[in-house]
Order: sequence, then structure tokens, then C-alpha cells
Amino acid sequence: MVLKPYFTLAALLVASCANNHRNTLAGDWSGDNVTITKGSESISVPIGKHGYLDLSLNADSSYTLSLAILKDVRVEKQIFGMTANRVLIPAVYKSTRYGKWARADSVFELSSQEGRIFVRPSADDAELNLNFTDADGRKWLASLEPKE
Amino acid sequence: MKLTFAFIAFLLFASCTNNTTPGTNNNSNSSSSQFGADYLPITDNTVLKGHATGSVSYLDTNGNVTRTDEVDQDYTASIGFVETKNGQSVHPIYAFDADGGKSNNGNPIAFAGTLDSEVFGLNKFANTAAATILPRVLPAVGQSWTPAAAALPILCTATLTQHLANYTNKGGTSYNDVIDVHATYFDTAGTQLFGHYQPPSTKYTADADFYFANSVGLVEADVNSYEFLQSSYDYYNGNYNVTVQHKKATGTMWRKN
Repeated sequence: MVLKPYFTLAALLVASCANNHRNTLAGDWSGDNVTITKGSESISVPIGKHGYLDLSLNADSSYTLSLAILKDVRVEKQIFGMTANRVLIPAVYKSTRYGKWARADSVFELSSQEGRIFVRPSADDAELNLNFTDADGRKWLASLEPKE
Repeated sequence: MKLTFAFIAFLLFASCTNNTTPGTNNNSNSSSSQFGADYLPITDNTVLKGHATGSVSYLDTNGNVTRTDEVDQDYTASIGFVETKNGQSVHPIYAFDADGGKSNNGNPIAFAGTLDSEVFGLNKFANTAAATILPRVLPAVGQSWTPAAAALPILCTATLTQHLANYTNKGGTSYNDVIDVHATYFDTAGTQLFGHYQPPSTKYTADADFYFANSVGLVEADVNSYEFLQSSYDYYNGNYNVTVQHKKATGTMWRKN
């Protein structure tokens, strides 16, 4: 049958599109976990259970990064000079940064007056790895997936 | 984020140094006092609990917003034991961030004292002339006073805008005999920074309403507007680098105890 290869190709294309493949990184992304590190100390925060971390990369090179803590992030262990069982990030706190993004090699740089945020796409562009350093010198790492 | 809406109230007065829920306006309150100190009692070792909501916007040199922060959190302040600063008996005011840690690296955010029924404040360094937070004898409604005449060119004006028989703050707690003081603050004086800096150009403006209840103290502060603008020049590696900080804030705080 002459048409069979075309059907097969079409089916593969559809399957490829449905397999979360992105031709562009522009769009809405969100993260479920954040790792905060300072020196040799590190803590992983399930941000999705406490609020949200959203990133919108727009086609006009603008971006919006929103972090919301809607429920206290409490740490049970002693970390960052804090005694155990203290609130690491108190609720309700929402912070949004706006600015322009630019791509240099494999890293996106989200710049604003508040500092720089680095975003590195995974090999298949299905995930973004974000990191920045806050005013207290803590390094934040988060993996973002396309927002459904 | 070291956001301290709750304490802009203290800072505003100490540095001098209408979106409110209306209460019942009654100027003939028979139980009211005429003395300022009755509306802001300062007692050793007192913990003040409050709640603050508000937002801060950070702007770039073109006036575009680059960041916004919003909070809706409990805060705590405390009044320390009396001490002597600049020859005056004052109490240190400590603020605590929402995470429970002391603000200003554990140092006071301001000092306050009472002298002959006047309540006065000093800044966090206690190195300025005292600012009159509440005068010894309260003026009539509509009358103003200058909290810190010696602080010129800083312009700070306080006006007793209402004297209420009762007032319910935004936390839902009712208080008797409450005064509403509307304060404005304007400062364009530069501040010399340390290091290889040129004197920066700074501007502070603030507009707020403070509600003080007789025998209780501050029960609500509404920061209607607050703006800070500073540009400084850093000479580094043979170049002048301009740094601009510009932020605007609004917020309200109310007493919880």
C-alpha cells in the first residue's frame, strides 16, 4: 500500500507533538520543588504544597517570575543559623519579578534590577532548571515543567 | 525580604525625628484625655503583636516596575527597658520580622520616651533631635504640629484629624477614645555613604494615618503612600556607576493585643 508510510509518518508526528515536545521555550512554566542552599547546608522545599513558583517567558522577550508562599514553610532541623522548628519563609508572601530575558548559548538570563536569574533548558527542552541567589546569599534551584 | 510595613509607622515618626474604616466621630467624648502620653503609653518590657498587609513595588530608572512584593503576615514589636540616650530617658523599640527574627540585626528600630505627658521619638541611632510623636496637650481636631522643627529641611507634619468615641480597627477590635493623626513626611536630604561614593541624592515621601487609643497606644497605622528614591554614584575601575533604588509602598497594620 503506497499510503501506508504517510499514515505512519503522520502518526509519528502526532505522537511526537503529544509527547510534550516544545518548539519554543516561550510559554508558562511551573515548579513543584525548590532547593535552597547556603554553604554546606541545603533544604528541599515542596513549593507546590506551600504556594507556587511560576515563570512566563513571553515571545517579546519579557518574563514574569512569581513566587508565592501561601502556607508557612517551617523547618524542623537547624539550618541557616536558625534554630529547629522555625518558619523559614512566612506566609503570606508573594513576590513577582518582571524584566527581559535573553539567551546566551544554552543558558537564558533573566535580568532585572533585582539581580539575575539563570535558566538552563534540559536537552529536550521539556524542563527548565532555574537558579538565582537571594539577598541573604542563599542559592535557589528549581526545576520547572510546562504548565498545563 | 525584610519588609517592615508594620513598622514604617514607628520609623516615620522616629525619622522625623483615607482608606480607613470610619469610626464614630464624637468630639464630646467625656472620658477622653487631653494629654498625648495617655494615647501612647510606653511601658518597660512590653510585647506588641500586630498584623500587616501591604505591597511594595520596585521601579527602574524609567519608572517601570521590576518587582512587586506583597505580604499578609503577623508581626511583633517590643518595647525594651528604659535607658539614657542623648541625655534623655528613652525605651528602645525592637521589631521582629514575620519569621520571628529581630529586624535591624537585632538593634532597635527607634527609641521613644515620655516627658511631661509628651511622647517623643528618636531614630534608630538616637543621634537626632527628638521628634514629637504626640504633644503634651493634644490640639483641637484639624490642628497640626511639626514633630521635628529642628529636622529641617525634612518636612514632617502631623494633624489631629479625628477624635473618635470608639473605633474598630481592621482586625475587628474596638477601642474607646481614639485619635486619628494624619502625618506626612518629605525628605530630600542626601545621606553620605561610606566608601568610594559620591553623596547620593535621596527622596523620601510618606503619607499615613495613625490611630491611637486612650490607655492602649497605637491600634492601627495606614500607610497611604510611601516612596523612596535614591541615586548614588560609585567610582569603580575608572568608571562612575550609577545605582538607583526606587520603591513605592502602601499598607496597613493593626494591633492584635
